Amino acid sequence: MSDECASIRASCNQELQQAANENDLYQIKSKYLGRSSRLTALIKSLKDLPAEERARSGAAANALKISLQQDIDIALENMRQARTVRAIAEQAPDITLPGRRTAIGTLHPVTRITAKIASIFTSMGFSIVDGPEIELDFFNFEALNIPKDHPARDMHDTFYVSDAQLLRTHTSPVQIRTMQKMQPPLRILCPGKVYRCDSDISHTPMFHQIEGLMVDTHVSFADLKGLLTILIHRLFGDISIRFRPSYFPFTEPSAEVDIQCVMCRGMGCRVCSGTGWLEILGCGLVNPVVFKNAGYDPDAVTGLAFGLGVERIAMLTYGINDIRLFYENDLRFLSQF
Amino acid sequence: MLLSIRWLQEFIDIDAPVHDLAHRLTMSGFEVECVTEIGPQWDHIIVAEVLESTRHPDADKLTVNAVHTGSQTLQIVCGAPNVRAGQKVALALPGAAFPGGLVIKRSKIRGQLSEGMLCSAAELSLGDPDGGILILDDSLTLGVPLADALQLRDTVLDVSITPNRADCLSVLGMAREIAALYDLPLKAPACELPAGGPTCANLIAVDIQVPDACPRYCAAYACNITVGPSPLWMRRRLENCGIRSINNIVDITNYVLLEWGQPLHAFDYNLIDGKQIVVRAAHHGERFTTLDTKEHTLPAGALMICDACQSRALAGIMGGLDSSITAGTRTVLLESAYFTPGSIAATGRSLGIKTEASQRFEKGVDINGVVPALKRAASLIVELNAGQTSVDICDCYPAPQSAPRPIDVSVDTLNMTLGLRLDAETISTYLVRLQMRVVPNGSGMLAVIPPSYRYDIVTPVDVIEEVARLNGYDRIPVTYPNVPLCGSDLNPACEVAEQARRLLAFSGFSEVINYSFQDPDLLSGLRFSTDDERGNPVRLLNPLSASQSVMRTSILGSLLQNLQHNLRSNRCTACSLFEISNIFLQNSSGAITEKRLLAGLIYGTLNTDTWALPSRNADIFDIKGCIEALLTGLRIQPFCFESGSLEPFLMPQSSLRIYVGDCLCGNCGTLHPDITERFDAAGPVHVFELDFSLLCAYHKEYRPHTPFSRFPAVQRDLALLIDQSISAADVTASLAAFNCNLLRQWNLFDFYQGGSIPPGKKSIAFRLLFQSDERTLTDAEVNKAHDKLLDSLRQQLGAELR
Ligand SMILES: [Zn+2]
Repeated sequence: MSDECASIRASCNQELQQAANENDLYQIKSKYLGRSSRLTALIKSLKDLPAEERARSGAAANALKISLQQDIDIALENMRQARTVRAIAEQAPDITLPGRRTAIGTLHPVTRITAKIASIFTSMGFSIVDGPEIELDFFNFEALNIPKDHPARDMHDTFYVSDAQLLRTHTSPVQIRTMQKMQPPLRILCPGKVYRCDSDISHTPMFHQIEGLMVDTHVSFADLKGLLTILIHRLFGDISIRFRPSYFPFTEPSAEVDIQCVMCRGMGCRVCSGTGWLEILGCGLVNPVVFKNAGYDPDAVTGLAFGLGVERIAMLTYGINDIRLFYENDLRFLSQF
Repeated sequence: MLLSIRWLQEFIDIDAPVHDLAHRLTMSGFEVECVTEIGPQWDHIIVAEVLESTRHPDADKLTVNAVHTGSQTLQIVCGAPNVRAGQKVALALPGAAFPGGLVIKRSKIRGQLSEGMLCSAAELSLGDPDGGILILDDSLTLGVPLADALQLRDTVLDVSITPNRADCLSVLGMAREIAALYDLPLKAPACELPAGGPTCANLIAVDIQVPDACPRYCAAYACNITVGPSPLWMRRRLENCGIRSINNIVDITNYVLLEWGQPLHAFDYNLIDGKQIVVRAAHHGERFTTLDTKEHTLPAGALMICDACQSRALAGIMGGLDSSITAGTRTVLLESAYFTPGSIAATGRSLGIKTEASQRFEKGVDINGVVPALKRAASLIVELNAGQTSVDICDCYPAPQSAPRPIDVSVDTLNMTLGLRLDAETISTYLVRLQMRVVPNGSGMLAVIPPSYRYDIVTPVDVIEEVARLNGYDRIPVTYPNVPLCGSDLNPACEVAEQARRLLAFSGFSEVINYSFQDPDLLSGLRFSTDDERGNPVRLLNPLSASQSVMRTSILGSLLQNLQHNLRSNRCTACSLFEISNIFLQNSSGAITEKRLLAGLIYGTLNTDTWALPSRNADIFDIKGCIEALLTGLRIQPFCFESGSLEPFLMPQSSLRIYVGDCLCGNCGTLHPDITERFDAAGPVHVFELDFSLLCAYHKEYRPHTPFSRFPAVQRDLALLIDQSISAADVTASLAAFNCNLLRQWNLFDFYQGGSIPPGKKSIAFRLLFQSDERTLTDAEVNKAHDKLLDSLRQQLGAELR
């Protein structure tokens, strides 16, 4: 009896090991556990045994049955899992293929820099305003303390549309237009296109400026330094800045602002002509004459104003060395931003 | 302005290193753009003596010379005819480099060793070619570098002078400024008239007929003149400052111009008729030949310097050809005058002439500097042995300028403006250093009188700026504006532009920015009719070129140029571009308006760069879909399309008008192929142009939320067979008009024609959504609505169920 049990066990184990697929396992299951299996025959034969032995052998045969059942089920489960794994592996996509998408475009670098600067100033309570690009001589020059025959007109190579109308040479006329419309205090920022008849490697006849104006009761030159220091540090990080005297008819005192050269860290290079400094904007306290021309009481208000070239900032930010690239609109350039 | 340090040192004893001076100048408003060392070009050239000169054995025109350098004797072969033993000469040793690239080295010339070169004045850039070597003064020491022996060394600063500081366009002006910066005394240059000459009284009479344009005219007389070259030092100084040497008399006027900033003019006195100078306005249509031999027709009001008979000079701009100094000139009339800036600027601009003189008069010279500059020139004539001058000058100054009014400056205002805390004494010290007179009144006010040459100092803030400058901007503290906290949104237009840009970029469009001016051909290429404002663009009076001569009335031309550029240079096969910019319209009465447009373009084969999507040619539905997505993304409601655009550049069958609200907002469609062809595009180009201000007007950042039904919706597909002639818009219009509130949504999800569809018909399928706000719909209810809908479509459109 126990020999027969051992023999069944051994034979089943061997077949389980040889089973190649689930079908084989089902056949093994019916062969060893089915109605015509040796184990069934063995159990049937137990009824002829004496009671005591029948009980013992019966227990052994049952144990064998349970054990065979377990082994076959485990083998089946293993086989099923292996099949799933195989199936998944067979159907698995090459997920290193690029994703499914249509091409996306890019924004112009001038737009990006303008948006960055606008966000810096709107966060400080400046409103964005707009003005015409074809401007009256009055707003572009006269109201800004640049009368006809003023030598400062030499600084502006102006495109004219008629005697009195021109393409604005700077965004400063928006200062006057805004002050004529709004009462102080005010804080405005005006980004936009400006035009000068000048075209070479460092000049395009159209470029972008951002004009800022703040009018209040007690705005000092020290405040101007503070405000522009915030701007420059937000744009370029914690770099050295210097303010040096300059001349604009519409501000006084006037200053030009240099930053430590971002290319050579102030050591001197071609970009900064060996000086270690790069000029990036012009600024000053609003000239009382301008307040008067705009209809404000020059004794009651003070103000600061600044203007910067967007392309200049973009060139420094992105390391662009030819301003003409901005207007060639070559996708090999544009796609980088 | 070019500033010679050696020249400067005649006015102030400054021993600061040049880099320090350059820095201080830059930080006080005089940006030093360039520092040039004069002298290194004469490196390896020394003073030497010819000991012996013999004929070259194998060449007639050459000599072989023994030349002593002070420490050794070298053999030099020379071709100049004027070499003689005993002469001191300039010897270029091996290593010496000349303009043009010649570098001296030991070599054999016709078999004879030559260990250097004897130099001519021209080779040394010290004079004109005269066929011989330069013979040096016998007193020079052998072996000394030529640059030192002839005192050629100098440093020249290129200083940028702002338009308000014309007073600094001279050595004297810069010396005054530097004296203030370094707190140094200013040395007065010698300008006394020599004794012994004639007096002007009987020699020159001046008659100013237009005192407004010429408030002061001074003249001096010089006789026994010998016109010839100026001494080397003067030629070098002029040349280092960018002025070509002409002859001693002209050079003296230029020298004083550079030194004093006062333009002078020298006339040949013999040619001045009637010993008389008349300053008058040009006659109507008067013609005049300037000394550069150009003949001009003078503008009205041009200021002329005349003698008793005729015009002799274009005042303050250029002298006349007939009265200029020549080799034969024996007597000279020197002019030093003050012409008002406006008069000179107007004439100069009208004639298109800009000279050293006119630029200075335009910006304003010192009316009190007119006399000393004239005396300086006269004393130089004597100093250079060029002739003898009058013992006095003729000064015609009918209405002397009144003393300037003091400017009252408040110490408190000054400190508040700058953010400083300076006391009255410190402020006064700064101003006195700038030659201003300062009178404190004891109650915090200073009365400031600027010197006559400081035209730019008129108002208190002008004085405040001077204090800031001398104090140094870097010593003004950094503070932050103390203003009430207030937020600020981007203005709506910026907000919409920002969102539109991002939506378009994400739809595959790249942003471009083009010049606002363009070629008129580009506009006519878009076929605008003559009664369309866009066909009559604003023209620039002074364009840089014809291709940039009119202001854009449409952005599309620029986009097409961008497409062409990228097709040609970049060989791209697809291109989607957009731009947000102003266009400029001019109505028939000439009034100009600006309008902001958003324009875009799609061209080429899409999805060529991906394995995952089928590639296909862009068509009008790409542009339409992108506008639908853009307007939806911008939350613009309502918008719709109408078939057929009137734009002359679009194909009528393949174009749409775009409406937002009731307003025509723009057009989109396929460009006419004959326009497209001109830009190298091989296939159709699809474009759109939208009125940006309407997008802003209809954009809503927030729209109120509508509650939605939570009862289940029932979906039914409706496939219809309709006549070709019926458009999808006709069917959707019928669906919209269908009078049943259970039909909530319809999406056109399939469209098909050809194949199994009978000729003349097309198949169109909608996914319908039926829903109620009050209850779950039963099949019967939905069927009833669906049938009713089908009936009405049958009746209205002759649609059949497919
Ligand atoms: Zn650098």
